[in-house]
Amino acid sequence: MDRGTIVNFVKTILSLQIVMVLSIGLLLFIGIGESYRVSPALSLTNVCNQAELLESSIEGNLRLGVPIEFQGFTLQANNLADQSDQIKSINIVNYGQADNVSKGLHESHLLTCDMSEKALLRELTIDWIGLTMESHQHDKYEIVLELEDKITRVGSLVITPTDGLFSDVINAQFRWVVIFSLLLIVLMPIVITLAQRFANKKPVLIQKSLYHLTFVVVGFVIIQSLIQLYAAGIKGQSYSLASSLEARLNVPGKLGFDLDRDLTGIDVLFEEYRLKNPDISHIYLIHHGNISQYATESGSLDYYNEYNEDFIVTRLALIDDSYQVVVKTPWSKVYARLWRATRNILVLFIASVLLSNLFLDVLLSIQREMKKANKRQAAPNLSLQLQLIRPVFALGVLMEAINLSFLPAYFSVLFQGSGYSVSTVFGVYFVSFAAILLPAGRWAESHSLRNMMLAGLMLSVGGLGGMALIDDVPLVVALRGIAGVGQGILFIAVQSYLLNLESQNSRLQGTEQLVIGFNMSTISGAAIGALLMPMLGEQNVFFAGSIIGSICLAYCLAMISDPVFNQDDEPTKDRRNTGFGFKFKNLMTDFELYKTVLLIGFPTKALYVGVLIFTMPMLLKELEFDTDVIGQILVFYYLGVLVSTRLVGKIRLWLVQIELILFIGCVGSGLGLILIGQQEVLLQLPFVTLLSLQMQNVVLIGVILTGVLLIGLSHGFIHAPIVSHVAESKNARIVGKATTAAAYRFLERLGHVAGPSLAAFLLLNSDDTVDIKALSNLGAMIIVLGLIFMLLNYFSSMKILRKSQITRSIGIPDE
Amino acid sequence: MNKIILVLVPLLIVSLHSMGYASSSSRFCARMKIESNGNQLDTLSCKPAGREWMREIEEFQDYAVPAVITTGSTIDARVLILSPKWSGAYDISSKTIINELRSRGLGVEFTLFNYQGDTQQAKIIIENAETNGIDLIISMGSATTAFLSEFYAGGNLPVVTSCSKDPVSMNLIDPTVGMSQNNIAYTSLNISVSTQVSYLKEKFLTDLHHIAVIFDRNNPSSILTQVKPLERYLANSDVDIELDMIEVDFDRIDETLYEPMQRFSDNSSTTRDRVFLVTGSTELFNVIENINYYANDVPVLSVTPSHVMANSNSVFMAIGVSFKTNAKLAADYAYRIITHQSDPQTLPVGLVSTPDIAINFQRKPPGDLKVPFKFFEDAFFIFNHDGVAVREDGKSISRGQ
Repeated sequence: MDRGTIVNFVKTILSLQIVMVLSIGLLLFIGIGESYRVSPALSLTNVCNQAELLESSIEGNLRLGVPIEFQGFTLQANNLADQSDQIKSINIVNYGQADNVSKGLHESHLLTCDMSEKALLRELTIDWIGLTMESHQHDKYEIVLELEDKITRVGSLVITPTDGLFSDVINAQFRWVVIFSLLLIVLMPIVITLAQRFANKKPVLIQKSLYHLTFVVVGFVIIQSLIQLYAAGIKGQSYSLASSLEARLNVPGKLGFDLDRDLTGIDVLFEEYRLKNPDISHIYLIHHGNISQYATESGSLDYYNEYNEDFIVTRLALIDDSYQVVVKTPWSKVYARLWRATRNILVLFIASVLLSNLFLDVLLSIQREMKKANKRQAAPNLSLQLQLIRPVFALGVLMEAINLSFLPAYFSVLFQGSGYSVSTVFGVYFVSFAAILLPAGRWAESHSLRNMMLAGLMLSVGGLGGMALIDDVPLVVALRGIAGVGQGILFIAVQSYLLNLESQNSRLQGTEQLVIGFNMSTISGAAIGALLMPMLGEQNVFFAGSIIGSICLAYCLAMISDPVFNQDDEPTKDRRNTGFGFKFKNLMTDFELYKTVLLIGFPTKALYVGVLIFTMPMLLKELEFDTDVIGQILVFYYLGVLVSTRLVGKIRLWLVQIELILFIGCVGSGLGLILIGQQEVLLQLPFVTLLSLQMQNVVLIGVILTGVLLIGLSHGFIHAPIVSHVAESKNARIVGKATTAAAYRFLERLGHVAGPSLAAFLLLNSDDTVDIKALSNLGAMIIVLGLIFMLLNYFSSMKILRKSQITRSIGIPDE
Repeated sequence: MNKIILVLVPLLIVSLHSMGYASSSSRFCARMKIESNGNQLDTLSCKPAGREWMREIEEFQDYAVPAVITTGSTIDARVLILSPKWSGAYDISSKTIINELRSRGLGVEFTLFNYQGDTQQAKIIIENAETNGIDLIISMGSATTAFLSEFYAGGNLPVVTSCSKDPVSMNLIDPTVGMSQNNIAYTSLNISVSTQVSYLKEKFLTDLHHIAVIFDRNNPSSILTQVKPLERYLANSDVDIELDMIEVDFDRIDETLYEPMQRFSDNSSTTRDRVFLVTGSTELFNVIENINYYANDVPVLSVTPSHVMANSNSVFMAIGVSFKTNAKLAADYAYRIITHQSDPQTLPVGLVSTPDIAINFQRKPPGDLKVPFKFFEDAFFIFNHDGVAVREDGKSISRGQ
């Protein structure tokens, strides 16, 4: 092995390690973030169950007239703190001191027992150092519980959790995962590079497979760690609850009363506990081996088998040994919590696979270029140019897409009472985006596309970076405008670049790459942004977006050069008529363009924004789906687009007629809408009504997912081919492909703008609920528009055919 | 001799005055043993009121000398507690109010005055209060509340009532408004009837269809504040409970009490569909042993927690408002007014929403009747099956074997 080979070998390993650090690091970040979302909430519930037991005991006495200064309360509090592994200390403060606590005179973070997972996560600081080594730096937290007598608040219980309560258990669980991942990051690139070097067949496939396998292994290890964390958390929660019940049920025994003989209503108490802790399915009291009083989720005790492996069981004996209190939590609750984490990791896996595939492709292309450079070969070929340009658009879209999931909510808080509406600010972005399309298209015809990309990226980075630093309302509006202009310029520059490559080699499918890049980055960005935001906060995610943009800018500077000018694409037919007026006149009178926009492009974009982005979340919310599930259902749309866009690239090789592809897209999206619109009919089918409620929900999700996926698959038949269709029109040859495509994009954007209004008009009832059946009507309309498009094309081609026959019959040669 | 007499008489007058002065205030101070954490607080000072309070007060009537109790080194507010007579209930109420305001960190100078039913003296002391910088008057007992509502409604100083029966039933305020709209903030010693019935029917005896209310025909306040509201409520609600009136004439007790009781319990197909409800009356409580006897297996309940006592001279269970809880509510109202958080004219009639419960298991009727666990937890007095207290004033009593 010569020195050059060794250097290349090391460079490849290092490059792979960088890609792995980014993707696996992100996976670890999300996995740890997920654990911080769920595990601290379980720990807090555990502490709160114990503290509320004390609170209830003290309040019971306060209601009975015992003063808050009673020394016995302090003794009780100290005993609990001594016995509990989760509580460091408990202080009882009276009314005056309690005010000081609530005014935040303490330096601790104040927590409440009813705070959501999200709110708790905002208060916590992730202990990153503790993930790799023992750490003793812990934030201080306090939980304040109000103490009330029958009349009013008389004081507070201030509970200080044990140092590192929220982070230590996660650190202990994840420390070896981090070390294992680091080992994989170091070693796997060496294995991959060696395998690639010595494999005889499909080295690229081996490289990607090994890379993705590493990702899967780390993902699996993270999920396994989460199972253990959640199970331990739920067990602790169940135990503290049982202890709380044990303490309350022991009181009558201590005073000489018998629970069964003297008292009733213990089942009511159990039911209160069960409702307050929805994870718990069964609570019951066993007296001499028989169940005496109980509360269950289902109202029956069919599962009265304590050794049943389906449950986490806690069983505590009361003072009178003949009584035992039993608390059961089904393992399915652990899996349900885990399912959410797994779903998020799966989505992240998809996002990561998409992005890492792209970067691996780029890496391979760069390696090839380096080899060629070593061999002093010619300038980079078209295929390489295509590979090199893909990250520009992917990262350019990604930087904006990571805001998708939370931007409306962020704006609604930021703009509250400012006089600006959220829709106005969104409008500013889209209007700026649309407004720059035509000038950018015109500019792209005769200027450096690379410079345009750089300009677009700089504006986008400025727009997002500004959002990370500024929250002044008018400035934020201006920054959204700047970001819109930047994204518009970038979009047109990349589109023109790809069209140029495609015009030189139609097999390159440049427009497909544009659609794929857009959807891939949207999926990845939305998924990553939604998972990052709770941990980083909105402004840090904006900052992350501007960092991505800056990396993209640097990449563009280093790797992108303007495409070699293609003489065939130059509108040279009549150089006298290349002025703006001529082009504008041609565009304004282009029937083919209008026909395509009105019958296919506009409805498709209006359906995308109006139905999928605007109406579908409302419909899914009405059907009581969680927000993250709604987001993940919509991911199926983007996946459908991705899959079919790749498929269309292959179909186009044998299904030459683009119009037919567009028609298939119309029919498919129409059918998807009809399917979603007819969900009620489907749920009324005899075999469905016989299913359990849970299974009926599965059917409902299945129907919606299929519908959304079908729409996505069908839109993949439209998004890329329609640009090729207008770019190959007769007028495009006169006014230029970039200008025509930009004009089409502009007109298509009107669908974006009009989508929500049209959807509100066509699909919403007067009470703002979604008229589900109207979706079917809309689906039928889309199919009809596709039919009209096909008929017009048929007549137009017949006309051309007849003209051609006539010209041939009179002996005039074709142009 | 005459000279001696001339010297001695004024001395005698002064010393008698001083003795009366000291004895009346010490009586107040002795009754007001302020306790906290189980220990007597010696940080509270209790002394006779200054001479400024004695203007126009008939000085040689010992009851007329007010006492002053101060709860802190600084004085944030001055409060006058006005009582119509010496009473254990008023002592509990006054002590609770003093303790509550002290525990909320307010330094308050309390001036306590017992006007012994002499409303003229009460009027003078109120005039003195207006000139002596008093911030609030606590009206102790229904008699004082009725007097102040007539004499001082719209007066300069805010008033909070305590240990007083329901002002709506006593026709002191308009029930549709529910607040005084003047300087008096009312609290009620009665639990709302709907709460009372809900506790009985929904939380205890779900099969309850008959209530026999036992009341003394010569006790108009219990008729006005306990019997009539219950009668009105049951007549106008859909709770499906019939009310039997047992109006007791102590001159014909067999005929008016024991015979109706026997009929009521004999008509019972099941003992879980009916209860006897004893209203607040000392005379009735004096015959509780007989009431229990004639009740047979039907539970005997009361709306007065003090009707639950040790041993067998007790009702089975009481669901009502204790003097202490009512006083806590009055203290809360007083605190809000003193600290300018609320205005007396807009404060609604203070009703205790969670009643006080007291249980004597010795008086539990035979059979399978059980006490709800929540009642057991909330009971501030519990007597076991032998009638021995196992929880007193909210504190469990541990008894060595």
